[in-house]
Amino acid sequence: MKKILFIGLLVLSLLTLSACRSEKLYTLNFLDYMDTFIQVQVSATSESEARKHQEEIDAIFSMYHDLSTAYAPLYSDSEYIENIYSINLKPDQKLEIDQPLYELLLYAEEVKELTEGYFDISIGKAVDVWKDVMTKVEPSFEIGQSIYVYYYYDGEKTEDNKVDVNASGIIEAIKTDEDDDDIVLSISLNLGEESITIDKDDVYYKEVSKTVYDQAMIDISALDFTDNEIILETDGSQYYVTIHGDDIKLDLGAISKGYATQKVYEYILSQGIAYYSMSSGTSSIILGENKNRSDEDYVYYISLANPYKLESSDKDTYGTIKVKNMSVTTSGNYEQYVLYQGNRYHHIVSPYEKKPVQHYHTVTILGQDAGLLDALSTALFSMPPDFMEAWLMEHQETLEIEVIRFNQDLSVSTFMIDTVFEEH
Amino acid sequence: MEKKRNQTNKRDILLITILLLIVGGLFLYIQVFQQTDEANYAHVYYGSSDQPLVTIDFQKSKVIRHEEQVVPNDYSGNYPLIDESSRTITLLGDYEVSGIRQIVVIQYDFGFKTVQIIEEQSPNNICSREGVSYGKPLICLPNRVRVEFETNDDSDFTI
Repeated sequence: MKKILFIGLLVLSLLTLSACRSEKLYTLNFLDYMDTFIQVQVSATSESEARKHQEEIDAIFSMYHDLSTAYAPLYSDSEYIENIYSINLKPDQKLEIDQPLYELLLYAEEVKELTEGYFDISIGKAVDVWKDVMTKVEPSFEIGQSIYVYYYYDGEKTEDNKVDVNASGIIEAIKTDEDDDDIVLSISLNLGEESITIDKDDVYYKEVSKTVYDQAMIDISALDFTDNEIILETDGSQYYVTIHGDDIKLDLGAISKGYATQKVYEYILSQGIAYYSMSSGTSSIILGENKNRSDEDYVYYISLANPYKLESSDKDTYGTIKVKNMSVTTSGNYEQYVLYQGNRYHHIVSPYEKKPVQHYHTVTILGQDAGLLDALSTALFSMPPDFMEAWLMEHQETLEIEVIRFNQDLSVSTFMIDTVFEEH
Repeated sequence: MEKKRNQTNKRDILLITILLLIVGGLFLYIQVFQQTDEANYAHVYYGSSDQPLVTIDFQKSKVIRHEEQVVPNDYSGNYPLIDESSRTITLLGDYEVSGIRQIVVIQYDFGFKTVQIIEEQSPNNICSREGVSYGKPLICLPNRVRVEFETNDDSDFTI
């Protein structure tokens, strides 16, 4: 009898093991929402279950994409009343909106208050100015264009021959291959007091011209955000928004993605899924437990990208954190930017200065709510160091957030609670 | 009676051994699959599929074409096109200019183990402006073409 019981137990353990095997990780890819490649990994017992998750998650992303886009109107047969695009076309009018958009706008306004105005969805016109500047650098070389040189090798590419420049120069001459004009062999640059010749071994970056930069400064100084106002009203069953301001234009680019992924995360939790991860582009990750690392308490290893990688030999990442059941979001200046006099200009615009500011290369935040982190990383990116430190003193504990900052001077500052940051 | 019990015992031991072997084998199978050491590749994907159309094997210096890209009949060309002399892989992107879908051209370099998008049409040209990638994924939207690297470091995500 005992033996039968023993064998029965063995068979049961075998069955349990095969059941474990059958719970697989499925990768769900979304390419059509918020200009971002979103990848969700969830564990499911069957393909049909994974497909059900895919449909549910798709519906969430689709809704927030349609409601929050500032680039296109809703389709004529859309089930929604207004979206950001149509709201921007109708300032000073009380518009009925759908509850999810109302809640998203309300949340954005709460974060504005929390960050003392450093997060502001009403400055879309300033963001547009800098997005436009980012398209003004062509990859080809022409005489008269500006190039920023970090350093060049005077002679062979050896450490002894390396000369730091850190200055902009104007192209005086371009030497191309005899057989192919498209192959640039070297470029002569006028640095003001001297001229240098650079080639493929040197580290330089094409800049926007002074004309483009000056025009952007004129454009932003003409923008007046002082009267910007977003009024949100509800009677409990209907929801309304009214926007006021000479230059108001709503842009949810810094919050909608994080907010939507947070909603997806809530869906995943409601399904009781323990093993999952979700990445939106290279800036936001939501993590559950890592099924593939059972020997290390199911953590994920997250590497932090080096935002100051100038040449291929520079390291790709500058540190690692090991986390689970957490969100991580980075705002940075290194993915899409243009250079002007060595400063990087991009789409993260300080509401106070109406332009990208030069305090940090990246701000990474760890916490629980991806929507909050998305907005906070944008806000913190524009805060001067002293202000940010005082702000963290006041809010870090209540918000349960941790911050890793890669500063302009290439140093790293950390504001951690429990997570260990390993710099390398 | 004694003999019969002995036989039963032997049969039990055999059964238990087989079961243990199966359980052990399964454990080993899972372990081996978990510890697969990844080599250096770049995979080229189209759409939301997780099956690459093409894999660039940097270690063996070769390009492997897994599948044909499914494109509408009115587009001629057998995508993905692989041109080993110019070291390019060409896919048909989703972005349309005057109603015609545009190509995305990916250039690879076995020596430097790099990939670059050298031609694509899109509103902001984000992926072609990205330049040479040594490991960072290149995502071309709205063309729905992407290149992802497979490396042997132990990091799960880079942010």
